[in-house]
Amino acid sequence: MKMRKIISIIVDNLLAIGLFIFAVGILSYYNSPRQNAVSSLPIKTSLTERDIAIAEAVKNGKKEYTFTTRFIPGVGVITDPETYKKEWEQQLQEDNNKKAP
Amino acid sequence: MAVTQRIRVVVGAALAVAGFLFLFFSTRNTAQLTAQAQTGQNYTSTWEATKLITVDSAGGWRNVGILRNVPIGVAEWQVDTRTAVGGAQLLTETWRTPTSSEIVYNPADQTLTGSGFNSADWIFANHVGIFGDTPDGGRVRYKFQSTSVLNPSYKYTHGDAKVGGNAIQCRSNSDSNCLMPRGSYGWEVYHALGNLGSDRGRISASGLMMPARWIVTGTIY
Repeated sequence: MKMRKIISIIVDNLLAIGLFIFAVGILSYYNSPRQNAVSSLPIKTSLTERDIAIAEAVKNGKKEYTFTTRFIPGVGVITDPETYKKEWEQQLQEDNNKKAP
Repeated sequence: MAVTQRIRVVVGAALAVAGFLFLFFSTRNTAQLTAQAQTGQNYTSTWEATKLITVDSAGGWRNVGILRNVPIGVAEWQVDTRTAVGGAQLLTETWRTPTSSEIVYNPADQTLTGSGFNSADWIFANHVGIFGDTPDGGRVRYKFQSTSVLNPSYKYTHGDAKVGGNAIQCRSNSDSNCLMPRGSYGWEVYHALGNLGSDRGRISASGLMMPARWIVTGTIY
């Protein structure tokens, strides 16, 4: 008899209970830290080679890693060495012509 | 159950489900942030050059002799990456060029030689000796030296130009043959900086020796 009364009360107030759970959920969601609010990023560089080497080291439980890269500090990645060399020589020639009396 | 009661039950259940979904996603968000906090944070990196590529070249004229040890670029970097807040060490790295043995350019046969030297690892150009004076057979020597070669014992002064260290090498303070860096990993011998001779302002020799590849070893902390 008591049980039926309790169930009856719950059913009568289910809307209020649902509203309460909804309110708690929505408050929790909006108070939780948003991912896009994170200003700091994991250790991340433009070097894919480093990312791969570190991931591999971590996977194997090692602290040391090694990789090779064509990124030249202070210069960047030279995708076409021959073109870079030709441009360097061309600039040299132009400068020489300018400096000549 | 009355109709209104049924509606209240359905709406209440729907609201409860929606509430649980919001709770679930807010918990997941926090979990992702925790994972990020463990691995990621603001950081600063310092790059210290510990070894330099230097060049020895004649390239001038009238028995200018060999001008030596002018640095043209970095051959080894020590990289230290720390958290921006607190300064805890995250990574250290050493960046090395594929070889660190002397590389010699011989203009007689236009070859580059050196222990472990592989032409595919470098971007190079060499133009030497247009004035015909060629001590050491006109050879150009690229050396790998610690940063201590930048000992500021030498000073060249001409007009407004004052250069300390080995950034520029001239036969004398007022001479016309000076070896100096030219951009990244390049060099030139500039003729007649001070003289008013007929060859004033000519580049008498030049070269480029840029690493196209780096070998990096690192440690995670």
